[in-house]
Amino acid sequence: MSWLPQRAADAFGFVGQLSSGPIARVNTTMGQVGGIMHLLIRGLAQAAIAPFVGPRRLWLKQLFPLMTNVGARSFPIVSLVSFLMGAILVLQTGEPLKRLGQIQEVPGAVALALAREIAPLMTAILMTARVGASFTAVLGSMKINEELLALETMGISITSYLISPRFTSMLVMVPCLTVFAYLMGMTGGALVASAVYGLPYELYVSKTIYYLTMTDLTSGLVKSGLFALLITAICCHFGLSTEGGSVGLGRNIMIAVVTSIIAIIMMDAVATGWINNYFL
Amino acid sequence: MSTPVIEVDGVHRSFGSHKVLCDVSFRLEEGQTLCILGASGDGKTTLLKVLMGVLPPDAGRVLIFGKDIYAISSEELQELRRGIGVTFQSGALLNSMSLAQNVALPLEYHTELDDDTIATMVKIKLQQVGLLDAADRRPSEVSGGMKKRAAVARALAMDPRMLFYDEPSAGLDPIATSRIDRLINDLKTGMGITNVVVTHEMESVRRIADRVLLQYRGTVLLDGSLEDLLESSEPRVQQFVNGDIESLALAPTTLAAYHRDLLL
Repeated sequence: MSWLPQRAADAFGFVGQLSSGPIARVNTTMGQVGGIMHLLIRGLAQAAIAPFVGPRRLWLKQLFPLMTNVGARSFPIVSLVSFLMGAILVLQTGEPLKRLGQIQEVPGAVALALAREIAPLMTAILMTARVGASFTAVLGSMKINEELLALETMGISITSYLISPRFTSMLVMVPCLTVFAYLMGMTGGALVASAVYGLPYELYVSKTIYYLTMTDLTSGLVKSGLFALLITAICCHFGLSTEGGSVGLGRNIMIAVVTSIIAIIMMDAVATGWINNYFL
Repeated sequence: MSTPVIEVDGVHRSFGSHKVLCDVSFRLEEGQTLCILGASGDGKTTLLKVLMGVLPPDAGRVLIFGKDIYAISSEELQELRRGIGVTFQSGALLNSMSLAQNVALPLEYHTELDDDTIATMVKIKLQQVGLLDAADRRPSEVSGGMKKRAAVARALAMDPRMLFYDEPSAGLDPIATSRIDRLINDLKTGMGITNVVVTHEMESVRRIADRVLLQYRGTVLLDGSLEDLLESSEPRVQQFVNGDIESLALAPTTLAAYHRDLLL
C-alpha cells in the first residue's frame, strides 16, 4: 500500500476498520440468525418424522427424561410464579377499580391479562432460565468434551439424536405448562380477591368465564408454542457453537438466555399485533 | 499387494495463515497398523480429523475404502462411518451414560436388534477389552486407561473394518499402555482390523507398528516400515526416535530469530 497516496490509504484504512468493526459484527449476527433458523428448520423436520422413521427406540429414550425435566420438574416453579402473578395482578388492578366502584370487574381484567400475555410470557421466560440454559450447558459441554465429535464419527446424527427430542419435548410441554400457569394465576387471583376485596369465588369464576373467549386462550397457547420453538432453537444453537472451553461455555449460556428473552418479547409483540388485527 | 483402505493424495490444510498439513500423501493396505508420528503441533491430530471426515482439507483427496469422503453425500458418509471406529484422546464417552450404555449407543442407533441381543453384544465387546466388571460404572468413575478401553469397546460395537486412535496411550502408566498396545495387536491379528494410531510414544510404536508416517512441520518426513524408521540415517528422524534434545535438528534457531521472536 505504500505506493498509494496517504489520503487513499486512510480511506482504505477506514473501510478496513469498518469491515473489522461494525460490518463484521453485523455479519456475525446475521450468521447467528441464519444458524438458528437452519437449526429450527432441521430440528422441526426431524421432530416431525422421528416418531415414524429412524432410530425410534433411542429417540423415545431421549424424549421421556427430557419431557420430565421440561414439564414435571418445571411445574413447581411455574406454579409458584403464576400463582403470585395472579395475586399481584388482582392487587394492582383492584385499587383503581374499587375507586371507580367496579371491583367486580377485577376477574375479567386479570383473566384477559393472564390468558393473553402473562401466562405464556412468564412461562417462556422461566423455561428459558430453567431449561434453555441447561440445553446450552449440556450441548456446550458435550462439544467441549468431544462427545459431539464422537457421535458424528459414529454416524449418529446430532439433529436426530439430541436436537429433535428437545424440540418435541418443548413443543408439547411449554403449552401444557402455560395452561397450568393460567390456572394457578387464576387461583392466586381468586384467593387474593376474596381475602382483600371480599369477592366471592363463584362471582370470580363466573366473571372470568364471561370475559374470556376461546380466542384469548388459543392465542396464549399459540404464542407459547412459538416461544418454545424460539427457546429451543436459540439455546441449542449456542450450545452447539460453543468454543473456548469453560469460559466460552459460560459466555454462550449467558448469550443464549439473553437472546432468547429478547427474541421471545419481539415475537410476543409481532404475534400480539397479528392476533389483534386478524382475530379480535 | 491388497487393496488400499486409505489413500491420501496431496492434502493441504491451514488454520488462518498457519499451514498445518502440506502436501501429505500416503496409502495404507487392509489389516495393517499405521502409526502417525511427530512432535506435538506437527499436525498428527489434524491429519486424523481429515481422515475421519470431520475436517475438510483445503486441497487434495482422501479416499477411504475407495470413496472420496469429501465428495460423497452425507448419507453415504454416514454409511461409510459405520465401518470405521474412532477412539479419542480423552475417550469422548458420553458422561451421562454408563460404559455399557455408551457401547450400546451405536447399536441402538444403527440397528433394529432387540434389547437382549444388544445387551449380549455389549457384554462381548466389554469382555474383549477387559471391562465387563465395570459395565455399569459411569466414565467419571473409572480410570483414564479404562476410559480409553471403553472407547475402544464402543468403537468396536459396529464390527468396524478400521479403527482410528488419537494418542491411545497418552497419560497412561506403562502397564496400561502395554494393555492398550496388546489390544490393538489382538484386534489386528484376531479380527483383521486396520489400525491408524496417532502417537508419539516410541515404545508403543515398536510394539504395534507395521507402517509409520513421521510428520515434521506438516510434511511427511518418512513413510515406510518400522525398520525404515529405526534404521533411518536422517538426523531429524534419528532425533525423534532417540528423543535427543541436544541436537538442533528439530529446533534450529539463530541469534537473529531469537531477537525477532523474543526481544522485538
